[in-house]
Amino acid sequence: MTRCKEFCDRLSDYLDGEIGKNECILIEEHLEVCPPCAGIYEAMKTTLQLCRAGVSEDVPQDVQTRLKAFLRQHCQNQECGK
Amino acid sequence: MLLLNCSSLPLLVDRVRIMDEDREIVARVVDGDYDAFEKLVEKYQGRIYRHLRKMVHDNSQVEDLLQETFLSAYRGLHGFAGSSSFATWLFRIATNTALMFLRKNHPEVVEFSDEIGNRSDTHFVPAAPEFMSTPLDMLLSQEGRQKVEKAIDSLPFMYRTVLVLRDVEGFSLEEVSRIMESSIPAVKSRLHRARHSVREALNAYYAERNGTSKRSAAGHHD
Repeated sequence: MTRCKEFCDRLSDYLDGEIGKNECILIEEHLEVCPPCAGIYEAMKTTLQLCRAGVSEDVPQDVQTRLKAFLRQHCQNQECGK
Repeated sequence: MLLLNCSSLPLLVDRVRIMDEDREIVARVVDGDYDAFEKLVEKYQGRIYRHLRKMVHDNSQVEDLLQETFLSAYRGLHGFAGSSSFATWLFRIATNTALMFLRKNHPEVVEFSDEIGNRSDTHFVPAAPEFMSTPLDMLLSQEGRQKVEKAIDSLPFMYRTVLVLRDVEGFSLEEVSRIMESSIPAVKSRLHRARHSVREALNAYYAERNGTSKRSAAGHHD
């Protein structure tokens, strides 16, 4: 269980490639023999995939139109940096 | 580990290409080409709008902050040294714009947001088989997307912002630390807790959802 807790504590860094080679090997060995932690690892990977793909970046058309008009009004006749 | 590094190589190449493109466009804007600035706006407005929406949670204010962000960027473009990517620089402006707004109008959101509650102590929540067995297209259905958004939105401000920058926008830890003006250890710590919290929320949702449908199906069967 201590190993499982350590695994959970280090999972985020592991996914970011932020841990050393030796610790990586220990984690990968643990994943091979611990189905609950392997499940958490898979669930976390799926969670990150969902975060990446699941949040819309659509801007309503009227917001886009007003942004363009606003910026033209305030910037077009002004040199940038002024 | 090896797999992660290999799969991130094309992304890295893509990022370098985008950085070069952006630097070229910025140089044109600085030379007085306003159309080039509109290209930058078109390219980044979606991501900036999403970031502000996640930070501020008040759609009526997001539009003003979006306009303010791009106006500040235009006015400050001479100061863009190119030592970071244009995206990092622009997101830092957007983040500061939103932070200034929140500190003035909702200081409680920023000042008291450093607690994620009891959830942080329950990282060892086993993966629900229902979550793992739900097909990806269903996880990314309209309902699934709403659930992801809700799980992110329920995080305290600082955790939410770090998670959005790293896992939604794809910035590196170092870039997130620059955008947030936080140390890398602070970013890592918040990210760790935020990720577990979102995983647990989705886990609980799919366990409950599939449990409910199974109970419902069994009910119909009876």
